[in-house]
Amino acid sequence: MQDLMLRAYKASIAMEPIALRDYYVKIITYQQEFFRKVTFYEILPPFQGVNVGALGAGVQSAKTQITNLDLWDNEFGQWRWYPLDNVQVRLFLPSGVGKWQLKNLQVPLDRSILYRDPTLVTTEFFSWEDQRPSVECLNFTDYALLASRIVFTGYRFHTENVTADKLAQLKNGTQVYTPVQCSGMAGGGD
Amino acid sequence: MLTELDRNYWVVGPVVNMAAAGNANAVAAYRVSNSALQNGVKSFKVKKMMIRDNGTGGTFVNVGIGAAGAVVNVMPTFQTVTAMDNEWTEVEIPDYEFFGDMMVYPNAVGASTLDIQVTVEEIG
Repeated sequence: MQDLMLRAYKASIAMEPIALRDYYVKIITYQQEFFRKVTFYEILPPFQGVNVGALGAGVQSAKTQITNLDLWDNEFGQWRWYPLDNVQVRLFLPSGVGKWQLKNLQVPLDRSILYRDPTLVTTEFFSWEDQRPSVECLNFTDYALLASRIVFTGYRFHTENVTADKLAQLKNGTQVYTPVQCSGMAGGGD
Repeated sequence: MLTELDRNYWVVGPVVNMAAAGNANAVAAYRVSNSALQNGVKSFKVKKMMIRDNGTGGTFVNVGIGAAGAVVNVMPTFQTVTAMDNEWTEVEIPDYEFFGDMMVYPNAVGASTLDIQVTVEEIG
């Protein structure tokens, strides 16, 4: 199971679930970390998750929450995604925290991802329950766009609490788990 | 060999009318994406071109870069047949990469005009 901890970041592989049934995961949100046990998961075929709407030439949209990615309680999602329309998209998770944040640049995504990274492995992110991501869409072109649509695919995982004895094992290192980062990370420090 | 995965995404430009002849009357057939907010530099290559000659008597269309009046051709001129659809595809158009707007103008229009529309591959 150890290899699962790194699998999501290996280059150019088709999408696989980060955890399987009965696997232990450590959910890491922006404010909390806790252990869960996966009870079931299912695959989500590619679907249109959000349409930020029409954008004039050179216009950047307001930050838009992707409510369609909300999950039920005790569930986390594993997502890959790409824009259908000719926009550059910046991702926030949660809404106040930039995802893919470098010191001098928040890395955006545009349609070129489909040829640069056909499996979309580098677009992968995770979300917990209804702690949904937000996006800003920039129409960088010199023409108006009638829509700013984004397609998502991935998995949803249902989890349950871990028992007290298992929790002790998870904390003392005798039970393997897979960490799942469900938010962006603020930079800073030396 | 170029595969579908090697291609960047294709975009269709607007229908642009060429109403007057000469370099000074050049118009942009396709404008490079260049928002101040975007990350990176965008460029493009022309993959398809359609010119409708509305009845000029036949002419040549220049394709280049630079401001109207100072357009420098970046490929040979394209000859149109009057009152016909004139179409070129990827294998016939030089693989020139535009980092600025694609400017076009006809050598003559007679008493008529021409319409142009291009499909481009955006890069970057």
